[in-house]
Amino acid sequence: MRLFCALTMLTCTLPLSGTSLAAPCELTISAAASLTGAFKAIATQYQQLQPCKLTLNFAASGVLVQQLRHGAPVDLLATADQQSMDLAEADALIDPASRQDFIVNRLVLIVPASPAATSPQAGSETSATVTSADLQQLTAPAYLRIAIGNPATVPAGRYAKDSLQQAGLWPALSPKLVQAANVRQVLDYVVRGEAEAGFVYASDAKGQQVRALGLVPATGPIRYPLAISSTSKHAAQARVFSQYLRTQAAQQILLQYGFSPLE
Amino acid sequence: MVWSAIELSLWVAGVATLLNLLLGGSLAYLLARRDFAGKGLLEALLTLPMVLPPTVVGYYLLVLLGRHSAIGTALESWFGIRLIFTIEGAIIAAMVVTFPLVLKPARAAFEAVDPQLVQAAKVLGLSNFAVFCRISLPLAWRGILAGLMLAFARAMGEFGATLMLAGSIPGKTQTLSIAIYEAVQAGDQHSANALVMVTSGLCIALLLLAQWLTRRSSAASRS
Repeated sequence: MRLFCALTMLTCTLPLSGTSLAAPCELTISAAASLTGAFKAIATQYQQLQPCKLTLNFAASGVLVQQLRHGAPVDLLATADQQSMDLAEADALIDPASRQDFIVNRLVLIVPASPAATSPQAGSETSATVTSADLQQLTAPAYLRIAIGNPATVPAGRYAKDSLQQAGLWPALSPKLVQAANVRQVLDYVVRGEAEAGFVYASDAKGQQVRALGLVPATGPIRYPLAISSTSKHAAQARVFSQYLRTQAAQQILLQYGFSPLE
Repeated sequence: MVWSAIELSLWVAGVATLLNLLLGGSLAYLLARRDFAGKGLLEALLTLPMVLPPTVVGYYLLVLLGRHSAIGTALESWFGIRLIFTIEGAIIAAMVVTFPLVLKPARAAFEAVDPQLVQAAKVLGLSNFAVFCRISLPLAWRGILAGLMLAFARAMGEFGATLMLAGSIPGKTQTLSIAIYEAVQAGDQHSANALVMVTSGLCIALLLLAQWLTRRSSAASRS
């Protein structure tokens, strides 16, 4: 079976790489909201290398899976967590053989950049780790609202919930939580100062008008998986792009945007 | 989740409509009875929320009333009020979006009042306020009410501006339409179906009521 797949793939790829105009290369990529900046930069670079038109669709991972389930014409799916991808796989929305992790992210606790909100000892760089005592600080009245991705659809919100539950703070902090539709919205809330703190990825906090207090200890590494959708009509082209994501050039861009390399 | 969303939506739409009755009603009376410089521009500005996409209205409100804005800063330092992520924010969003729906029919209703009746009342010595209470309002109230119904139904369904200003906090600012959006996104078909049914039912009932009132008011003005 695998050999058959590989052969089909090969016969599909070969004519394409030879005469690119025969079948126009068009890929629709659904990517987690946290990948917005990095994927836009990668797409720009990729389109210079390959005569391929990339259409990018960003939303919370849970939303992307729902879109795919309802028939969105997506070729490639990149989520911010394994759980969303597991759901997609369970419903046969993706080709399991094509699934692979391509980058790692870390969760950080952020506060507005202005010194308006008082903060626990701020870690100067995102290398510091937030202790449970720091998290405890969030129960102080100075933190009126804490932005978090909606745990039902936003992986960053789920990771944050896990960490807060582990610290035993989830029930105490729940009334303060403002649930955002995706992790970028969490960032926006904190940048605008409407929330005194928020949980986002290191990649979101990078280069933004926020201060990262430190890394939030997650239950495990946050690995981003990627897979080709089972309904893709451009599986071969999607494969070429997913291979490109593992190249030095693409990984470099991802690191620039604050992601961490796969161990 | 379903009940808190319904309760919240009814509350937000109710308060917004009531405030619009006071504000929109008095402005409509002013526009129908008086001419002044810049009237056309004022009317255009007041109608704008009906034409602009709700997200644009929401963005304006977010920038105007947010924490870093002059109004937002003043409200917070003087009264400790924050509009973003609060039910007050949801009410303001619903109010602004539905304001033209109250203003337009109310103005038309006030204009439809026979000026001869007003003049006669004045000749007979009634004050301006008494003319309003005893002549204009009784004759125009059906038209005003029809506008209010429409505004209420629209406020029940407000989504874009509300989401931008009030966010989505279950039990606090998560109104019906936002709860539906969240349920669909999370793949929770059961809640989504229940919420959609309730919203549709409520809105149909309101539209029927508005229709009936308009018919009665036009019948009354004919007779």
